[in-house]
Amino acid sequence: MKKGIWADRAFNGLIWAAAGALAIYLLAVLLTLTFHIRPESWTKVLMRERVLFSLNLSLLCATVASLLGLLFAIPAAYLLARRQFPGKDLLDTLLDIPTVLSPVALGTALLLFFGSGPGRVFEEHGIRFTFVVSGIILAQFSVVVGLAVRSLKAVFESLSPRYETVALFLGCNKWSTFFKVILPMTRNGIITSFILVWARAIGEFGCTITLAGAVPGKTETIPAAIYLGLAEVDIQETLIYVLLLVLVAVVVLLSIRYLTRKRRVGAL
Amino acid sequence: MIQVKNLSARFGSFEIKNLSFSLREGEHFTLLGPSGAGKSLLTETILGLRRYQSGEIRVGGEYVSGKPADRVTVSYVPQDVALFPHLGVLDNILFGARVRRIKSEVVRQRLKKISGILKIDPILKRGEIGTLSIGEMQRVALARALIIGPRVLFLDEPFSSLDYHIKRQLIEELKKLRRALSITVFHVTHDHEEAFMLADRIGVIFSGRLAQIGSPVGLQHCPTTLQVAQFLMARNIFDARITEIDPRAHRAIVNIDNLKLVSTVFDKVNSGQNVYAVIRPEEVHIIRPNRPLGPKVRENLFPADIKGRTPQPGGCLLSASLDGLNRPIEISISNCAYHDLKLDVVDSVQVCLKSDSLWLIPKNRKKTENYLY
Repeated sequence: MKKGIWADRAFNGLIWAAAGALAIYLLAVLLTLTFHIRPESWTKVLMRERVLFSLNLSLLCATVASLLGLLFAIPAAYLLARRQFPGKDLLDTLLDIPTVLSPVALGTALLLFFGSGPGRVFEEHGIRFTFVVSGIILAQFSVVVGLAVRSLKAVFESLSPRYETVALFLGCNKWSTFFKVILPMTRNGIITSFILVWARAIGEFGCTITLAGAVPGKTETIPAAIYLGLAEVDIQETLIYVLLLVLVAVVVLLSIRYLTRKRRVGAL
Repeated sequence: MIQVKNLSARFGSFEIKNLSFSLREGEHFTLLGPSGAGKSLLTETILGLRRYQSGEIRVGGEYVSGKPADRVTVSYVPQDVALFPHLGVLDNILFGARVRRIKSEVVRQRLKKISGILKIDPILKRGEIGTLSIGEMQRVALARALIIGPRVLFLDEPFSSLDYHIKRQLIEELKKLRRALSITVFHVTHDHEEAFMLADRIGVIFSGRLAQIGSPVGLQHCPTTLQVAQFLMARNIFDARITEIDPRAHRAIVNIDNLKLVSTVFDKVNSGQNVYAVIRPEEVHIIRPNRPLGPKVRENLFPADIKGRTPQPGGCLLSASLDGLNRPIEISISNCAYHDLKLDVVDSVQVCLKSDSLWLIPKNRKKTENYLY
């Protein structure tokens, strides 16, 4: 009996220690950054119009890219979770490629595709992706869409297909089953997926800078500004950008969690 | 209402083979079988949710072939009820009516009738499905399925997770609903009591094959195979041999071990044939000594010693040994009869295996599986 109590305590201790160690580690890193910033640098950097522009651009692009990602990922994940078809494994693996590929490599591929490959058709018809804001969105979309499919596929798989069968016999067609039953029931999972994807998109750098560049006042997102700050050895500016990114991300993610918590539904 | 003709279907290594039956309008048909017999697969095939290889299925006159059965005709309550957790009780119930745009006056009348029978008025305004008990969830699922006014209701193990009292209440309510709404019910279960209390006819299924279809009484008294007899808990099943048959009097003399008995209930058996002689425990009579005997109980009357007593709800299961019989016979008796016969103090009795309760099953019929009970 006593042995059991100690084993339980050891288990509880282990999970708390692991979570605590992670929290302390991350906090220590952030606090180190904070202590390196001189108080007068805050006002100096934050007053710059360029900072506000980068912040707005980052928020806008990450949000649009994440929503676009979900728009494609929701039906694709539903297909992979519910249907059996030849080549399913191949499609599943293909959708994983953006996730496993290094962002710079993905950016290079996109640059080649839109710069000199079949993607030039878009450029010729006035839809530009290279070194413009739409390029940032496309780059972030390309990086996060695989992640969205992966997380949403697990969400749809966890939902019993019986709900769809029942809805079908209650008179729903495929559309109304999807919009009246499946989407509301997986709302929780979709929000979680959005948070995951948005967090990944706002911090995206490698693919974005390769396809859209980091032109100040044009395509300079916060991660790009951090890179440029480091390149110009402006440590104070760089550190403030990092903390700004962390702060904005924490505020946005906590707000989403708080606003959606009360109406969440289990995916039974 | 439902016609299934020569249906064969394969699902991985499991097979439904050459299955035929039909349901009349307004009938309650129960498909009864052990777990893994293919009940749910057959239901899903009839509903058009699974493809089949050959045969034909018609529901409400429409052919079903790998597409969902006519949704106007059919409603379905699965085993796990599948209430929508993002909707409240009333929104769950009205879901189908809203999707089908049924007139609100019709919906109001149906809801009044259904909620009255199912006694769900007090929970209609509940916002969270998670706060309902399992019995309440079953009632809400039934109401949701019935509010759309289906002609056939498919129930897949509807009461399997309910406790005894709630199950009994729901069985009574389902009977009332069926009468009030004049619907045909196709009901799948492994629960004997549920099947026998609700069904007009029962189909017994083993390993994807229908072993027998009949009325509850007919199935209990006249199982056509050993497997059905064992599954329906006939308990007293003996190897026997027919020594003599009088076709005109419809009487057969059978030898069971060293006993000679008379049977008047059999079909397609011959003299000299090996058979199983089956008598249900509740059909065995215990006769008080010195009691004047009617002609029916003078036959097949034997002295017996009570060897064991197992209490049962409302009665007792006795195990008695008969001279000349190598195996004890089991007798089901009510508490009232048990005390009247003073069986708590008396061990020696007379038992009668009435000739019209001793059913003979020919041994040449295929034996596929034995069930332990």
